[in-house]
Amino acid sequence: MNLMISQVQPTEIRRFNDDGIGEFRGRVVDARLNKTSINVGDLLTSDQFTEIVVARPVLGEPKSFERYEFCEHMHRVFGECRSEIEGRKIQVLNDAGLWSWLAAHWAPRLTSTKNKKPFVGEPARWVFESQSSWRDYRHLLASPYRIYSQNVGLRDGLNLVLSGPVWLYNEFFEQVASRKYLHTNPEALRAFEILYWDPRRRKEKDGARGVVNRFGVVFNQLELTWDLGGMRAEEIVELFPREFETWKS
Amino acid sequence: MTTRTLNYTQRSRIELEWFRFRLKRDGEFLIAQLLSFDHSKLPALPGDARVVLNCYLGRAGHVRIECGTISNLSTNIEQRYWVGEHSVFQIHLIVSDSREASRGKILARSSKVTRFLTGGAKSLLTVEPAPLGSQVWRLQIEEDRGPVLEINSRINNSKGLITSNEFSSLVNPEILRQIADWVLVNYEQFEVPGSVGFLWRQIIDDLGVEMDESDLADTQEREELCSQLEEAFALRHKSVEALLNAEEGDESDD
Repeated sequence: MNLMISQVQPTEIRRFNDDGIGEFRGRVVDARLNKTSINVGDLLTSDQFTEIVVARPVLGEPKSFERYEFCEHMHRVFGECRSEIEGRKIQVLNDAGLWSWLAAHWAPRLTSTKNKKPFVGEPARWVFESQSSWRDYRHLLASPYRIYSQNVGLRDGLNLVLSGPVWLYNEFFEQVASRKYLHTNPEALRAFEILYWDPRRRKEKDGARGVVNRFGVVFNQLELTWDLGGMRAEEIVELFPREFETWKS
Repeated sequence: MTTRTLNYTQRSRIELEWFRFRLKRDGEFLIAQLLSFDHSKLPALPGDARVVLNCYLGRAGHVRIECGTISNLSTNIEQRYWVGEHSVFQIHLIVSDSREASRGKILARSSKVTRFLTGGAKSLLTVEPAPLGSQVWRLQIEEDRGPVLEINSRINNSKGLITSNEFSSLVNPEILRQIADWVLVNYEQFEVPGSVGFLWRQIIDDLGVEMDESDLADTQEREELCSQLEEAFALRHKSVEALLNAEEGDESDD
């Protein structure tokens, strides 16, 4: 993977049309099967496969592809060209063509390696399947951005969930991204962070990674009895049973 | 054997008939508003218990509409939010405790009501003639079309048959029961908008049977739920009354 941040000129923003999404998916599948990088070639600017969203060169490189920093960057970019996006009636959070194109645009930067060969993974990491509730959260870029945009301004609550580079599997991110009742409730995110984030060391608490899957399961059960959407994070944490005592301190 | 679920939470159930809400499209926005809530049939609730209309919009978000308290209900609160073209909208009403010791505990809640905002009015159930031998009707579940009601091809007036009060009262609840079983088996899978299974799931959800704590993989629990759904369907469509009316009509014809 290319970790060097080069001085790349900002570009226009495009989106894949239906044919483009199909073509990109095909190239992802090929790369996955052959253990090669994704060949986006001339796909990014093809008039056959793409359409312009913002014609101005507004899409610069993010400082890094750490989830939080990347989301901040995209939030700024989308803010700068809000009128053009709205004018084209594009719904940023749900647009499969836009997020698939963005993934293709940064494909070389987002492809990690496994056994010294490019690791592409499943197509849903690249092609945003916005209509599938099982796969939409798997997209490398759209999924963290959705969590970020639903909780803009909530820094204490996103430290853990949006940590690490977008291309690297993060158990904490997976747990939250796959459960809408968590990432649409800022106080639930804060509760998650109270339990598993060490604010002093600014990293996850030791051992949390192995047990974090219990959070969603128990939260789901508590939601049947408690109005968690109307409670503060500290109150939510107090409801968690004895097995969570270690993490409450 | 009948399985029963114990209500350890002592939570009361808010029937869907007890409250009304309004969903209105305003361009790309949706306006949701609680219009009325009749809590007279609920056990005594503290006057300061909070009333909240919970609106879920797929992965896109969750909006709470705080509608005041039991003793001071606000029905004029509108909440606008952005919706997509194919939005699934779920809503339920909860009443939660506001006292310090048990703050946030849910005292009563309704089932979730699902609305598919772009849903049309065309019938979901495909009806077709088929060579059924001595059977009058049969329900088949097909992969692409979902449930298909087959009527014996020897019956000339199949449309008259399926729209008759007798058929509606005696057969439709059983058809619903069979469809409900199919929906419950595939419940998670049918969460995705756009499929016929998704639309049927909405119809099942709208019947208002509480399913939150049910294990749908358990055959007995599923059968119990199907019975409840069949009963709710018969109640909603006044099956008994329709049959009695049909009988009265027959007698007067004599």
